[in-house]
Amino acid sequence: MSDFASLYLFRSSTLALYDALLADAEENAPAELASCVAISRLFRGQFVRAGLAVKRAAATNIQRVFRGSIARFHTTGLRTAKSTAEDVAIFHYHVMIIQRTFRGFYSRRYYHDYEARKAYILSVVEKGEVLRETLRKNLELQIEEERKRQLESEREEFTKVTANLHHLLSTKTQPGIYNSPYTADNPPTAMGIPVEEHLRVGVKDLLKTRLSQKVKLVPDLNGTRRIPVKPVNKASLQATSKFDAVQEAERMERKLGRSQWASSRNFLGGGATADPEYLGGISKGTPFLDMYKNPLYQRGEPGAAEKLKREGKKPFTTTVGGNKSSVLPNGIFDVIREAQLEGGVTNRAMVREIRTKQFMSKTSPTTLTDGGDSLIIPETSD
Amino acid sequence: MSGVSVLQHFEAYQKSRVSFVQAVAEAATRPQNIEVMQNAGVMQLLRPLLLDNVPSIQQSAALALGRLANYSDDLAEAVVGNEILPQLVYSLSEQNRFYKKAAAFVLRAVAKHSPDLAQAVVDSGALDALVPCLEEFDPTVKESAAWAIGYIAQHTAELAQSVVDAGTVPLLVLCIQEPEITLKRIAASAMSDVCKHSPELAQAVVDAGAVAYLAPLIVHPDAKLKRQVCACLAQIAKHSVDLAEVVVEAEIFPNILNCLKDNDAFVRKNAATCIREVAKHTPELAKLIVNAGGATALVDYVSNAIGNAKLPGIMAVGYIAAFSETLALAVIVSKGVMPLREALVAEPEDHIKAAAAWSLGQIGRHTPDHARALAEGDVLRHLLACMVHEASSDDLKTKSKRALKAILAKCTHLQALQPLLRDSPVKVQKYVLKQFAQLLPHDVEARRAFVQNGGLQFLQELNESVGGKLKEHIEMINSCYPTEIVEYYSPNYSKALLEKIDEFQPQV
Repeated sequence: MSDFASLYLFRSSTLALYDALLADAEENAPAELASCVAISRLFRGQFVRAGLAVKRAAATNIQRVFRGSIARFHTTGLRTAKSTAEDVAIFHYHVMIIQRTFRGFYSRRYYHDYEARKAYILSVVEKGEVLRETLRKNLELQIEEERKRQLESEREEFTKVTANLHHLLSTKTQPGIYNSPYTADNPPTAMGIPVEEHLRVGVKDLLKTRLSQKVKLVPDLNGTRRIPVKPVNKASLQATSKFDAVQEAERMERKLGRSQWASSRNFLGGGATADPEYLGGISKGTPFLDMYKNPLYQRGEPGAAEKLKREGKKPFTTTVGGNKSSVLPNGIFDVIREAQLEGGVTNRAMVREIRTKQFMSKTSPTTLTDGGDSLIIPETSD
Repeated sequence: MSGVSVLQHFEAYQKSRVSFVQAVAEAATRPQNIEVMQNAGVMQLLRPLLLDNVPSIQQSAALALGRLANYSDDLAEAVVGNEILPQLVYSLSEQNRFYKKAAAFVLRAVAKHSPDLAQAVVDSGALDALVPCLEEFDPTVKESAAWAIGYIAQHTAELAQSVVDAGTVPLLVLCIQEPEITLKRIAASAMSDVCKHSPELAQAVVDAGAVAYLAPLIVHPDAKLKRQVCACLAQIAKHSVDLAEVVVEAEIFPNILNCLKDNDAFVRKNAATCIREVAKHTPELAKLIVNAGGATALVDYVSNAIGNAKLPGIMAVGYIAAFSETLALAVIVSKGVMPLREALVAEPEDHIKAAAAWSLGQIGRHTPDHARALAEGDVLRHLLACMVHEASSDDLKTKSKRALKAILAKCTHLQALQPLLRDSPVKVQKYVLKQFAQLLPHDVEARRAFVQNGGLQFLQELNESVGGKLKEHIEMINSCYPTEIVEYYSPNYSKALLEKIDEFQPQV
């Protein structure tokens, strides 16, 4: 209770103090209010800022992590790309080498083989040289043959001319025209041989070939040595003989007979002679029989009655006729040609020729040249 | 008047006829008589004698007519105009072999002059009458008939077609197989005349099996036959690859190469033509020829041949070289450049020069090596000369220009290019400078040489006057050198230096 007493004691002062305090409080009230507001403002601000700071920190953290993640992802991608590119570059490098090598190989193998081409070119050159040599030899041979042919023909012509010339050769007392005394030391020569020599030899050849020459005797069928008979024609005797030899002979006989006419009566031409009465032939009264049916006409002894019948499967044709030979097998060109020349068995062509000759000799004194034969065909144009 | 004395008149008449036709036939061999006889109306007089009852008069009349018709186309037209052909054609099938020969001679003499006359012969039905003559026994008749047929066929494709349609080709092939050389010759010539016109006609001849009989005759000793055979094979081969292959398959190689060095000039020429016709088709055929040693033989042929005969050889070489670089190289190593250059320089005729220029172009256009071979053979200068010479024909100019262009585009042989720079026209300079522009950046020695022999200086002088592409090339070449050197060689550089003196202020 003391306190109360004390308090009471000092009540006035206390009230005064209270009043003073109230006044002070009233005096400081705006400042305190402002402070209060400031404090709450600051607090609230601080509070919000603290919250924001937490959130910002969290956001930053999130961003950091996310960005890190993105960057890592990106970097990984880049790194992979880089390493892939490096790998690819290495692969490409090797591939290029492989391709280069292969292409080189392929090209050398199939397109342009330097060595092979070199070898080919060499072979071409070699072959060319060989061919050149062959061609040269061929040409030489050809020229040589041509020259030989030329010489041969010249020589033949010369021989022919000298053999036929009949120039007088030198005798012991009289020099010939090719042995002039003015050129005694250097007589005219042909092909390095004096012309007189040519004439002498040529005439011998002529004598050998064209004039009488010694013929060797040959044994004939009887063994007798005889001069060989050269058959003029190879056809048979019948084929070569004249067609009307028999008639000719008869005619000649009659002619000779007439020339030896020895009748008391003179021979007078003309006038009719009465024919004797026809009494029929010797076969009169005999029944007609075809020759092939007539057994009397069959050759040899018939074996049986059937043999007497004529059995002709093949038609009967003559082997003569046309320009064919009767003795040699027909159808051979040689025979046909010979037959054409000589008229074959019938001498047809020969007869025509003879007739033509006779005719021409009557019509023209000069020989008639054949138009066809004198046709000269010029050489083929190029 | 008795019978004998009447016959005397007939004999006298016949004798006169004989002597008349013989005299006319004889006189017709001399050209100076022809006009006189024509004016005397020889045609009208000979015509009835063709129907004379004496064979020898007929023959002589036909012979005389043939000689007259042979002389000129006017007389041949007169033969046609006088309607002699139907008589001849009629008697071709009726008369003996001598008359046939003479009649065929007349037909040949008429047909040889012009397509119209040949057509007149065909229209008169001569072909149908001539065909049986090809089957005659007598080879001379066959000869005459084949000859007439050949002369008919030689003019146009239509006439040749009518000859083929008449069925002559198999008979001509038979004629080739006869032993008579003249007959072979004429049959080959006739076939050559037939097949020269078109591939179809040539095919007709090939189908008749002619090539198999023609090919072995290449080695025949008779030169005239070889001429015809080679010509015929050439005419067959020229049309298509297939026909050329048919000819080649008949194994004409290497025998035909022998003919390139024959004693006879025409055999050589025809063989070269045949080879050309084969070579021009495909690389394979060209290669076949080269493999048989043909390049060397052709080159030898070109160097030995004179005048026009060179042409087939030159062209054959060109065709072969055109196909591939290997073949061109084969031609080069066969020493083919020199003869071609000789032909280009020495031949008087422009078409041969043009062919030589073309062939050289074909040889040089493949690779730098080829071009170098030509450059070293001193070909470029001559090509240029042919190109710029005023007297050269247009064809020669064109061909030389193309050849030069093709060779220059490949040429890396700068020593050879250098002389061309000065003397050539702008068009050629362009190609030369292009080569320099391509090569100088990579070659120090060449750059130095180019300056030393005055090339760079010439270039600067040129630079003053030209423009366009040429200028571009010059700039490219200039850029290979330091500026000082380029300026040093520029024509106005001395002036520029003097101007510098004027501008210079000495610091005293």
